[in-house]
Amino acid sequence: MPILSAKNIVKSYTIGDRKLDVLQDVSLDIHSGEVVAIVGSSGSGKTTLLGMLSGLDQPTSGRILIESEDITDKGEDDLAPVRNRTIGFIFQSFHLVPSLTAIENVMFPAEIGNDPQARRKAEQLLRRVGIWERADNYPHQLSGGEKQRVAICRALINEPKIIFADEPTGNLDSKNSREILDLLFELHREKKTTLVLVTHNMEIAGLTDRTIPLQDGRIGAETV
Amino acid sequence: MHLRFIFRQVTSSPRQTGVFVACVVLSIVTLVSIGGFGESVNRALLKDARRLLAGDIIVQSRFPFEPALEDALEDLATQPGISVARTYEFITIVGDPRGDETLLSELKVVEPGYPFYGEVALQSGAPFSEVLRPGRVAVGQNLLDRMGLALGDRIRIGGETFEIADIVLGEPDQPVDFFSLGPRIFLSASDLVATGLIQQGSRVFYKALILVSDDRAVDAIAGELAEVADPVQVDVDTFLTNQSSLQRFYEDFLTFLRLIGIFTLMLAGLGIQSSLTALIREREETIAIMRTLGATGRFVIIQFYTVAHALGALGTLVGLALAILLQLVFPFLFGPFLPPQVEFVISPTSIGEGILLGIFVVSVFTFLPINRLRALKPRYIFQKQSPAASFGKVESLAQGMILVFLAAMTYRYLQNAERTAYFSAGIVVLVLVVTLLGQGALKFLQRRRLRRLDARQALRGLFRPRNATLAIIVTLSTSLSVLFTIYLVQRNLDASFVQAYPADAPNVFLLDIQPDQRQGVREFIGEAVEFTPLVSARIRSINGQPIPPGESSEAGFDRGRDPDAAPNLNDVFSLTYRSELNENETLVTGDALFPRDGAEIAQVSVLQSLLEAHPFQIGDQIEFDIQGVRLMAEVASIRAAVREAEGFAPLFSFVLREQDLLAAPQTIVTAVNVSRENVPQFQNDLVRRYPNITVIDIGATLDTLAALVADITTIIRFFTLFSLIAGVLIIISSVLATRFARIQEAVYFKVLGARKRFVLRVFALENVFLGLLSAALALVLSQAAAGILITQFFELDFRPFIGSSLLVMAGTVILVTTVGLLASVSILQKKPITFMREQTVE
Amino acid sequence: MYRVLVWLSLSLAILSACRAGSDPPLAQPAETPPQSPATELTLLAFGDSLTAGFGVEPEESYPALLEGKLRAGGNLVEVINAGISGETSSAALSRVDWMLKTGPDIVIVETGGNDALRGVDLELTAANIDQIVGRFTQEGVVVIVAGMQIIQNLGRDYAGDFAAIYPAVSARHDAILIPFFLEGVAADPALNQADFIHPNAAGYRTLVDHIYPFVLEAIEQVRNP
Repeated sequence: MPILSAKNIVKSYTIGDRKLDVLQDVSLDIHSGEVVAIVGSSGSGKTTLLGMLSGLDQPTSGRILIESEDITDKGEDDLAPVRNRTIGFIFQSFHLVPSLTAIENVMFPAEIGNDPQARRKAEQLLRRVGIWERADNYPHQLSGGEKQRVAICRALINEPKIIFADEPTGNLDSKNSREILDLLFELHREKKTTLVLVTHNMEIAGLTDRTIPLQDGRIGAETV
Repeated sequence: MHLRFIFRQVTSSPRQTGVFVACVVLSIVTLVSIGGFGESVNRALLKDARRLLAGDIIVQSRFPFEPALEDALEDLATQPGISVARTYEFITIVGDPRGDETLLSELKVVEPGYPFYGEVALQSGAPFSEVLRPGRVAVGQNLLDRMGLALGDRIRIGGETFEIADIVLGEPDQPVDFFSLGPRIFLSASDLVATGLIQQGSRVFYKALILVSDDRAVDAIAGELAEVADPVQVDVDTFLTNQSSLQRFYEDFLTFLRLIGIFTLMLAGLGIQSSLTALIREREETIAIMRTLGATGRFVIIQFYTVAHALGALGTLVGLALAILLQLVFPFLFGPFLPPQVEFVISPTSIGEGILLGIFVVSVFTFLPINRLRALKPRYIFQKQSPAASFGKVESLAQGMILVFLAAMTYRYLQNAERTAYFSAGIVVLVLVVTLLGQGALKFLQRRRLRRLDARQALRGLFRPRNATLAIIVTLSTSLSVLFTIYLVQRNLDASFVQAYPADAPNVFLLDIQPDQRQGVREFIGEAVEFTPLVSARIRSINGQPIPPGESSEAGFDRGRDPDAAPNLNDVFSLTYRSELNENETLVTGDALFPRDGAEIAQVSVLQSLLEAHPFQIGDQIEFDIQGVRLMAEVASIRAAVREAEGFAPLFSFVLREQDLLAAPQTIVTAVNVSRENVPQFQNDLVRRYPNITVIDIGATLDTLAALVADITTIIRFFTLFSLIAGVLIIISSVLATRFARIQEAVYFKVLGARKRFVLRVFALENVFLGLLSAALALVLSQAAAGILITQFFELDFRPFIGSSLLVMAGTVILVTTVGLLASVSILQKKPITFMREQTVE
Repeated sequence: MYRVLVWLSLSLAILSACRAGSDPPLAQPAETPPQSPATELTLLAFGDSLTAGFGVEPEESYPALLEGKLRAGGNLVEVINAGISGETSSAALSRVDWMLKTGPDIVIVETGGNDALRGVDLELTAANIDQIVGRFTQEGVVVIVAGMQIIQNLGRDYAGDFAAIYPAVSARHDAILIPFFLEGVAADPALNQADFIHPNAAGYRTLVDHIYPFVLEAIEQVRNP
């Protein structure tokens, strides 16, 4: 049974009197423990699809199921526990909370879930990704690579079943990109999480179990 | 100039634009309407000044004018454009020709022409000159009441009888009668000789009123008259020099309103500044892109100045329209309070001034935010961070400019360099103190680690990197402390005056009750009365040391007039005796008024203010001289008394025990409440039984006073409303200024799995902290400021109104939180993706 | 700005604390009796503001001037200033017993003027002064009655009745009468303060010259009863 499944997703925007179909009848299944890359060029609709899959956005039609549960029509508050426990996010622009230090950013999802172990877990993760010494720094005091490491830790702290990563290396140089990707895959192997990557980079896509190509809002032939 | 660009800036940030325009409107409305109000009142005051003299010049003496002065006056009367009217005022005993009823009355004998300004209001409504013909008099209603006479009856004045033709309701040159001994009677001067009342040994207040048609000649004529008049016995005043206390009161009152106006201007200015800052912050990306595309800093600044002034012009126009509207409504709002004959004027000057003011306000208060644009370099577009706020030359220049502008405005309105200096220094000190305290408080808070996630998160929100929390707190606290100060001052004045004249306040004073009449008077009044005995005494020595000779207070009356004059041990003191502290008194030392109540030697409690004259201590021996009889008394306690009008409790420097003073010469006074319509009957009955007791009815005075105070309160509240609105606008613009940061956080929280309620709580708590901190700072400062104002300027005792202050503070916090949440509601409704999309460069 | 209101309320408060009338309240300068060792007689100057010396310095009041003049003339008399500004004859009567404590040989009774300024029924004034003089006489004090006239504008009847009180009282008790206490002083702008009622320093000097013979007569009576 797939852990994440999208059925006939359509997303269209109306801009002025022009209707723009970003996604047209996209269906896909992702199984637990898989590492999947959604690839496509700029404007292919891959980030939009990620938004639907992760429940940040709603499709015009079609259904999204996470662990067989239909999240398509859920309200913001009903989605909160799903976002908090089942899903982890990693963004291209990091999106760390600027008023919180590195460790506080990591702890935050656990604290929302009232996890008394939040600090301990956050510390473990930061040590694991090698930036424990930066724990008390604010985001604006961190480099891009450091920020993304913090973001990864934050995504992992509640041990989610699925991690969505949107161009996680898009804002990083090649050395840092390499390291972040290695880290992501290592952590995937350790925690057995499902990893859904969105990228335009075929090289990165090549590192995954499966690639779902997206072109003009439709899924092309999958490569394994 | 890029009109479309400018239009975009305005329409794409409607909230900030709205606040900006509202602030301009507010400053214009406040200043123009207070200015117009003041101008109207001033004009009325000049008229009023003439009315209060009933002429342009007045010459007055208790003695008949000497020949030189008489000649000068006669000479004047023959000149064209000048008229002279004499009046003679004195007390006399009038009688009922039908019986032997007599009454002490205050007679005013007037020549035709009196009054040159204003009019004597009569019950019939007929003109005074027609009614007051020879053989007829116009009298106060109280004369009829007390003598049992009616209109048309005759009354004996001196050696002649007169027909009572009308009832006097008011006279221009004596609007309020404070110390009247008897009813008023108006008599025509042609009848004066027939009464035979003016002769050698008569005590008459001689006056000559002069009407001068050419205002410019007034001073010269008055100067000539003063030259020929006896400098000691004769006073020569003009309507310009003779400032009545009522006029001084109006002027002080206008000053107070104008200060409120300046404060409102300052608050509105801060609102302009912060809303523009918020607006520009939202435009930063656009600006950076413009810069990247080659726009010069100059170009950008000119664009925004144009935006600011276009909006400013809009605000100015709306403000002027509203101010004009208000001028039209003033008569209905404040009619009863104002001096009669106020005409509400909307002069072209005040409109022109308003337009200039609008331009100035916008230029001065937008300088800083717009100048910051210079620092916005194109690289911003890559960093997605606004430049850090700095404090350099430009900032000091901007703040200096604001201060100079406010000082200039203050001077413009107060026309008084000293007060302007005080005011400006006050603003600087206020802002400095707020900044320092705010910094301290923030430092303290930063170190706190709160347990609750939402509270901790909210607190951290205050310390977002590059957040303008301190600036917001300074702005908010400054405005709030001004508002709180006005509030506290008003409450204090209310307490001192409005509540000091409750309906059941004593309105009749009984003086000169003799000790053996106490019981009888108590029975006559028929309710609990409090008698205050008075014993005149001097101090001979303290602890055996004679009082060093010194000048006693000149005319004793000055001490009554100025209660703050330093006490003088050479004065004659009024001692009293009683066994309890009064309600308005507290003990400073000693645990009872007379701890050694059984002591043989006389015991005296000393008023604290007397310590200025001598360091009295418990156990000191004071030797009193009561009309030649010595009384040795021991200081038993030291009391402090709150000076307030309530109950008219007089302050006594020395209070002794009953047994110490019972035998001493004393007179007794008391104050009672008698319903207004029963006063004449009460007065007649009491005087019939105890002819030595003098009854003074201050009911009418109290009514006038109470009405005046109520009106003043209304006007102050009205104008304070403007600064209140300015305060709310500042709160809104402060919240808007941090809107972006809030949206960002809300989105992150939601993406990370927080519910709406959590986000809401964090925002609410952040606003609570902000409001609480600002309000607490403001409360502390306003208590200090109001305390200084009340004790130094108004010379009253200060009450802190802690309970109400805390309520106001709570209200402020609720307001800040509500406004903050309202501004954040749209944020909460947003799907996170909308924001993320804007932020993510694909 | 509220000074006016403050002033008003305070005035009202003071009004309650003082005797009203033409005489201002509270502080009235009075003479300081010199601590002179040589005193043969005590003269009590008993009266209202004209005795207290309203508006002039204590040493310019008539009791102080009178004592100086007496001593200069070789009469070692202590003059006690027992004047209370604004006092009516009723209040004066109430303090006679107290004044007797000073043990006077001579008393100058000067009161009644404030009664008239308030339009008090003259029968009361006459009765009060009669009792005051009676009490002093009873205690063996030589009484000088200071005859007063009241401002004429109160009306001829009233002024006449008023002036008649003093000769009648002094005749009844066989006291010395100063026919008019303010003879040569009243109504003269040069000798009075601007209020028309109270003499200035020069006025008091004239006054003392005027009453001096009556005081000598009283001293004579004390010495040779």
